[in-house]
Amino acid sequence: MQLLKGFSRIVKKPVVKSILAIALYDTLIFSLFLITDPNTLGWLFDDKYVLTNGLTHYVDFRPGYPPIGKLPYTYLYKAFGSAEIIVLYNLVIADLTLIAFYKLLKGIASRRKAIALTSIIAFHPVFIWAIIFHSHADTLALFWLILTIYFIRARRPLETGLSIALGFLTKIYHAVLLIPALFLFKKWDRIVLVSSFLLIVVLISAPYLVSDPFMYATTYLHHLSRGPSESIFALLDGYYSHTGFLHPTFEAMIYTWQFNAIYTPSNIDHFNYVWNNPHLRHISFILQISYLLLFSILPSRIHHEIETARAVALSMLSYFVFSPFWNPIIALPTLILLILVTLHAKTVFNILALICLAAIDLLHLAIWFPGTPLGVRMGLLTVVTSRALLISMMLYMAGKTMR
Amino acid sequence: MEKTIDVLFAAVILLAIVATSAILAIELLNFMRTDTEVIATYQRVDAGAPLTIEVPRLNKFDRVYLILNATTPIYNITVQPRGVLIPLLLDVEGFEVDTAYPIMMTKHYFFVANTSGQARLVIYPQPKTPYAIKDLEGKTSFTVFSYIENEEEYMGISIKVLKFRENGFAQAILVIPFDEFIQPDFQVQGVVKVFEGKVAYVNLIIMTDIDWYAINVISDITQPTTISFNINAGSPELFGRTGEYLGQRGIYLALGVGLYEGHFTANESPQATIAIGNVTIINCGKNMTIPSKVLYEYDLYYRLYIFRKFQPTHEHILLISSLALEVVVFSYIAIKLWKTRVRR
Repeated sequence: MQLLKGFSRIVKKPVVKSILAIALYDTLIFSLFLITDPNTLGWLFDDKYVLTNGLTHYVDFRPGYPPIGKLPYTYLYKAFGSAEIIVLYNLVIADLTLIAFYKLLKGIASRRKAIALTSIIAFHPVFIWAIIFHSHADTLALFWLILTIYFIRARRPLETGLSIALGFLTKIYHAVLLIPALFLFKKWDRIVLVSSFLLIVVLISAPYLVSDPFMYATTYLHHLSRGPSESIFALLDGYYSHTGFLHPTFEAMIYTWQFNAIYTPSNIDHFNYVWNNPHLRHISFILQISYLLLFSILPSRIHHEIETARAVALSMLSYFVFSPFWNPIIALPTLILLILVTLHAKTVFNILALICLAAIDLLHLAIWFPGTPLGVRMGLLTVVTSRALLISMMLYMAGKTMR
Repeated sequence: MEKTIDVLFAAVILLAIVATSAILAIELLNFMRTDTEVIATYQRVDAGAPLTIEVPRLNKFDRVYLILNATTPIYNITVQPRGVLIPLLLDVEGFEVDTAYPIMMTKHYFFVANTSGQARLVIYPQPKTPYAIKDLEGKTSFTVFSYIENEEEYMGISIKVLKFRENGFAQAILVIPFDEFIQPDFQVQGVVKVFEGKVAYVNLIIMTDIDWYAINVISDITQPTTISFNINAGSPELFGRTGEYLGQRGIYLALGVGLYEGHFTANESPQATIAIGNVTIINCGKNMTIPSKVLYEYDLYYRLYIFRKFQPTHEHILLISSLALEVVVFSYIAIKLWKTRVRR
């Protein structure tokens, strides 16, 4: 009896509760992976190629992700060669991401709300899909995004610079966070932000810059020639395809400009795209940069931590929602940012809106499977329009609560 | 006083960072000016007789990329002297996803220089066909020939499976470009003859800018036979999407010839020989005929790219090391000064 009481006392401790919740979540997700048995290793085609031919990433061959995003998967695949290890790694990162998000929310909202919103992320279909199927660094990128906003909110320039750098070396979009951070931090804080960012980027990149700076730079540069996909801009341009379809062979052993010498861009190829209406690209860019700057200037005039987090989230959200490039995985950072922006709204409203978004994202994933009733064209029109309407509504409500 | 010295030192380091970056940029730009060499030309060929392409002088690790038109298939390609160029697969993601147009219409060969020096590529060409021929599933080798029956010419193709895919199939596809919006009167008519071997299926593939559709023409043929086909917008597709491609922009059409591992015993060589007659495509009131003509003498067009690979020099290593060191020192001073301010 005494033992049981002692045990129940331990279980009731918040830390133990959290550990148990995480363990339960991990068990559930890993069981789902075992039941569905997805082809997780299929995404590591580039690692297979590199290992088979005795090549080195960033020296002989450019993968699609920077080193922190790519190499953990390469080494895990090289050492174990099993999908289970990849999923376990994804699970650890997912746990860290959820903990970081909960910590961030707890600082600016009630505990109940933080738990509810973190749970929505944890059970979002794209988040689960990213863990069990997607052997890419999108969950880790999410972790750095949350951490950066956490440090910006706390006005800690050194840590902000470090986390933006680590994020940038995981997935490129993190560099955008430097813009609101540069506006927020002043004088020496700003210098520390930039120098800490450069320090990490230069030190981690140094071995590759020594071996072949072009191959390394190409990892980042080749994204510039990519076309739109699955966004309003893509549909307006008449492009209904996406990243994995109509893909050319991945000329990953030559530099971007060498690749461009071989491969003629066209309006049917995402990888080296020519816009039917080039103005759309400019409109997208102008919208991205204008709103990004607008919401980046805001935090410098705000002294409240919550409003700072919100403004930074809005600036980053501008980058995503006006981007010509979208795919189901981009739903994840967008979701995090939307939660931060609409945090003032009633919890019920938050939850309902997020469930609707999850349903749209699920439909988005489904339309790429042949034979789905809507078909690709109608399916894309449906998800893109409904997502745009829902996000607009959420932002409108957020604006109302701000006043 | 100490703070002033630190600020001055930081300014000097900043200047050094700018100077090092500038020297590095000049060094890299110099390399970029001469890193690509392109030879685009043609040679008259006789099918079966070897053709030699001289590769300009190479440095170790340079990349050599040869592009041929996929309507001019080859038996094989060799390198002389042996071992100077190492062939590598270019299809990193797997050739089964290499379905992008216009790369579908080309055949590409990729080599990495194993040593500095000169090399020759020796090509053994096959007859030129009206179709670009590619593997879609598994790995096959094929031989193209001309076949005449009742004064009508057919394009013959003998397909040998080198490796079946995990699902047990191997598929070679014969592609023709088709850049038109597909209208309700869309039809594809033609004749397929099976001479020998076992054909699991022949499908008509319609690639649009959105999706990929396959309509079965013939299936499970194990005896010599001749089949005329007429595919139209009412023909059911493999996923049951009848006519869904109407209104979409066609990118290419193809005949997919599939062989199934289960049809062959362990002693049998998995292969099939078929012939294709003229194929007529009707769309938007227009008729287009793909003549099944095979040419034994023709001009073989090719593009040869020599891409230089950057090799670090002592100067380059020194520049990067200096830059890294300067950034470390600058960050150290910046953080130190910032901490002093925070403490105050």
